[in-house]
Amino acid sequence: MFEVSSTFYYVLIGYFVTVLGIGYWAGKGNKSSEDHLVAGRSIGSVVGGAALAATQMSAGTFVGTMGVHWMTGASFAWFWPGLWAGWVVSALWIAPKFQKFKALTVADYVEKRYNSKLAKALAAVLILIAYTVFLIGQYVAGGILLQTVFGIPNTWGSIITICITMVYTLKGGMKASTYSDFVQGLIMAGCFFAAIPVLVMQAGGFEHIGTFITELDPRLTGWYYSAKDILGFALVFGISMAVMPYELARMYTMKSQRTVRLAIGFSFVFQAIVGLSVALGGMTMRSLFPALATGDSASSVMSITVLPPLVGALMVIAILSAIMSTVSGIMIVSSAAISHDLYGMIKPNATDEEKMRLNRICSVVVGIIPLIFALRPFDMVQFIVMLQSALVASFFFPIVAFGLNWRGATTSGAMASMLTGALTVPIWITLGKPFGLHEVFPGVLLSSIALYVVSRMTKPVPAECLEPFFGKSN
Amino acid sequence: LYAVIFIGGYLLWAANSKEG
Repeated sequence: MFEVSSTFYYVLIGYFVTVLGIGYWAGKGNKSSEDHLVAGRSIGSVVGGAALAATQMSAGTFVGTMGVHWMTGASFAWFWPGLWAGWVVSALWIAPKFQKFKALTVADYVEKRYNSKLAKALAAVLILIAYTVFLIGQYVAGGILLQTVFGIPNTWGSIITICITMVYTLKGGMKASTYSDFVQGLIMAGCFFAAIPVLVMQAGGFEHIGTFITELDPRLTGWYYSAKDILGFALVFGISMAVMPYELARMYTMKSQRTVRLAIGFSFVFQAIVGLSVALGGMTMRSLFPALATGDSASSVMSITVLPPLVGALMVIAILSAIMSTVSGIMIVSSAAISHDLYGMIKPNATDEEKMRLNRICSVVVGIIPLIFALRPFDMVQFIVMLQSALVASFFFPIVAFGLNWRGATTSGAMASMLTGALTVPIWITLGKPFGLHEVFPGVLLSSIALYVVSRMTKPVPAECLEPFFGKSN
Repeated sequence: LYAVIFIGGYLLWAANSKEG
């Protein structure tokens, strides 16, 4: 616990009022599911790009990544170009096709492309499970942050973070989530513009930082990790990020295919500013505090002891923003999986109003269930949080990437692919990661093979179902 | 002690891309 100036509290309250105001403003025009789930498909490329970037960057980007840079120096930042290559794959073959096909949820896409309600239900259930556990990790991070900085007990920190996010998400839906993400992206990029010059000056300038850490360990300014290792891992991570349902759902909110491609470009700008700043911040902190117990505390020590109060407060708000923007995107996707996808199947003639009401109830439920686990952590949670990203990539990548580009993918192929992906990842980890391979490699590879082999053996999807994706076949 | 060139190039491509 540190002494926190009153500036911190004013900035924090100002931030909360802003996002709640956005929720109120966005909620005024929301009438139908189309407004609530995809913001009426009205989002432009700059706002959309900031939202893509803010959703992608979570608590880990600030706390964990800065810790890695503190520990290993510059080379880890080459992770970003690998990630961008994954996004370029999406911009060429995935994201614009998603926008063109105007659905409301990712599970809608699965149903239409594979002509199967069962495949849709499987996708919706898998999304729900994966994201419930992902939220646990985000809540824990938000709670720890507020506790470290403000000394608010962990429980209350988590509860405050969630309640504010839930209120603006419920009231304003996807539009509120997108515009809050835009504000949060600006805060993240802006706080670094303010923080980096101050930080570098405090540390005695670039020259001093570089000389000091090079003497400490020459690998800090060289290739601590080899470029090959880092780009390979990042490319897989980037491709999995590009098919994350909470990112794909944002493609539906944009005006046109060109908007989608441009938005991905603007998200690179936000990512580059934040990524390069986090790297520089980590290296500078290493020169100022070479002996922290763990790199993970570099970001909070920086906010509280190195930066002036106003800039430090912005930095804390930026980390909180990163958490809240990710949580709100997931809240919408998860609750839509219940209210739109599953309920719509159980009761096909449900009215839009009914679904909207159910969606709001579900948002509260999917927001609160992970909180219970976050407050009473048990051993399995950490394990599940670690594998959720690989899990989602493994069961979604083949059915999205190949489904949009290969008309031969069949319903049975899609089911086999999802199940193979969902089973491979936990089994691979249980086996102790043979060959030292990250579980995402066998997961994506085997689920892709399953899609191909089973599709070749089973009957194709009727031609009229493929028309929206591939046009007429003759 | 690439991003500028890559992002600049990408944005030029995206701005000139067509619908469809």
